[in-house]
Amino acid sequence: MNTPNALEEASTHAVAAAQLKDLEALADALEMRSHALEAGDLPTVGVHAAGELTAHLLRDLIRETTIESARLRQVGDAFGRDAGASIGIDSTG
Amino acid sequence: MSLSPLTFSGVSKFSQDFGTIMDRAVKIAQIPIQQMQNRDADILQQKSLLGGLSAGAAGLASSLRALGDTATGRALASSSSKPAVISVANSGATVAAAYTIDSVTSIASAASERSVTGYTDSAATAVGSTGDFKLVVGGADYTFHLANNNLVGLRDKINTLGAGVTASILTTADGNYLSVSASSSGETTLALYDDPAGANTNLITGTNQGTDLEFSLNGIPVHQSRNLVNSVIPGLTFTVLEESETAVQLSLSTDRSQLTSALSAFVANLNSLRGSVSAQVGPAAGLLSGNFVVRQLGSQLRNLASLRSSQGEINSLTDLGITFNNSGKAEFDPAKIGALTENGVSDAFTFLGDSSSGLSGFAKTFEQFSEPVAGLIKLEQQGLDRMDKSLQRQVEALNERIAVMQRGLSLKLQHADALLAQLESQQNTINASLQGLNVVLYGKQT
Repeated sequence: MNTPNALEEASTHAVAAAQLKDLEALADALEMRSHALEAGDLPTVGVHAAGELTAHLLRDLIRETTIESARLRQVGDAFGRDAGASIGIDSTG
Repeated sequence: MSLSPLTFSGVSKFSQDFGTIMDRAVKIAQIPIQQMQNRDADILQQKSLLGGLSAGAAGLASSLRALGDTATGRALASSSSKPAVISVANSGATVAAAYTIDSVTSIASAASERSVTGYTDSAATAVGSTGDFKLVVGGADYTFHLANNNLVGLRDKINTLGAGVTASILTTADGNYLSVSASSSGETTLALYDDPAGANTNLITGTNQGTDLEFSLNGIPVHQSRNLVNSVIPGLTFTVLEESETAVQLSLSTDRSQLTSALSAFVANLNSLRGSVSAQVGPAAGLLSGNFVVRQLGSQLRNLASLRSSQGEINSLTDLGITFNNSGKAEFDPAKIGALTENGVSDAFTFLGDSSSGLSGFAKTFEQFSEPVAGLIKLEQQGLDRMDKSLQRQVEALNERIAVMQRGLSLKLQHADALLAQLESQQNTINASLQGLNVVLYGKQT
């Protein structure tokens, strides 16, 4: 039996985990949140706002990760091209 | 340069501030990558420039050797007053000279005879009375027995003897004849005897037993079996083409065009190498600025250009018509060679020297740079090769790290996406629940 504030507690944990970009902790918090909802905990405006804030933070994280991945791809592509160009050079000129 | 190994190892390590780590790692990775890119490009360019210098040094060394050869051979050219009678070639003469072939009374020809009689069927008509034969070529006898006692069998047998003759069959309306020809010219004995132990009958004619070359050189009679004469006059080879009752003059004299041609090639190669070296010196120097090879080549080029001799009429390159303009480029005036006295030409040969002295002696110096296995430039290039390979290994290591980082980011995105979907589902549930509460509490949705 969940206490009446279990949903709020899980939502607070989710916000904290999202702020820390700790995806494992966020996964645990969302799991707790699901259990609380299934157990009949009544949501509040605060719970809803915490969920929106978590979603916002999560979208930011996805965007940052996507950008990082693109930059990494750029670096790898450029490096790979130049590295290949240096192979097989005849030392006799 | 190397990067520290990444501390995250997979999807289960999301407790760290992954994004910050990734961001920092990428920034760190970019620094060595750019450095290596720049360094590698420089190495490639340096190798290419060294290759150009090597080719330039080899070209100059080659033209210096050619100059030495020309000087050693005194730029001699051979000539014949009657090329249709005697053709002549310089085969290493070192002194000018003239010779007279007073007359050519006989030119060398190969012995060639045929069977006295014709044979009706070359594959069936018996050639010998017993099948036993003896071939005589010069002082050598070849005795043999024919199983197939006919013209074909005889021809084939003679051709396997290695006697220095070739047998063939001539087919005419009067029958088939055996032809036997010596492989080399010169007077000899050529005979083919049937039944050598018995009747011993010569089956072939004796009208063309070959002739020797006979001529008179400066009054000295010469007699030999070949028309090519290469052992009578040192450095001069000539071929007698026909008989002549009148004298033929053979001469070896200095051909100044050989000298001007060799000097022109030398100047062209000198300017080529000088240009390559100059491009790596001074304020606008290329990537080989300060390079040991460039410094040494520049020094040797200066030594070459300033070579002096205190003997004779030719004391410097200037006396050979080679001058240097304000930019240091060499220029050659061929007319200067044409204006030299005979002594001047001789002194020019002395100045040019040979493989170990004079101007040509510099060939060895420049070959030390261009030698393809252990030359100075090759060694320099091998060092660059090692640096290039080292860079390539670092490139491979960094590429592997980038791939690991990319895989981590991909997993992170997948996980974040899944969590966002879960969260959005929860928000929908909560939103619906809140709207239900508003209806209960306030009689309307907010």
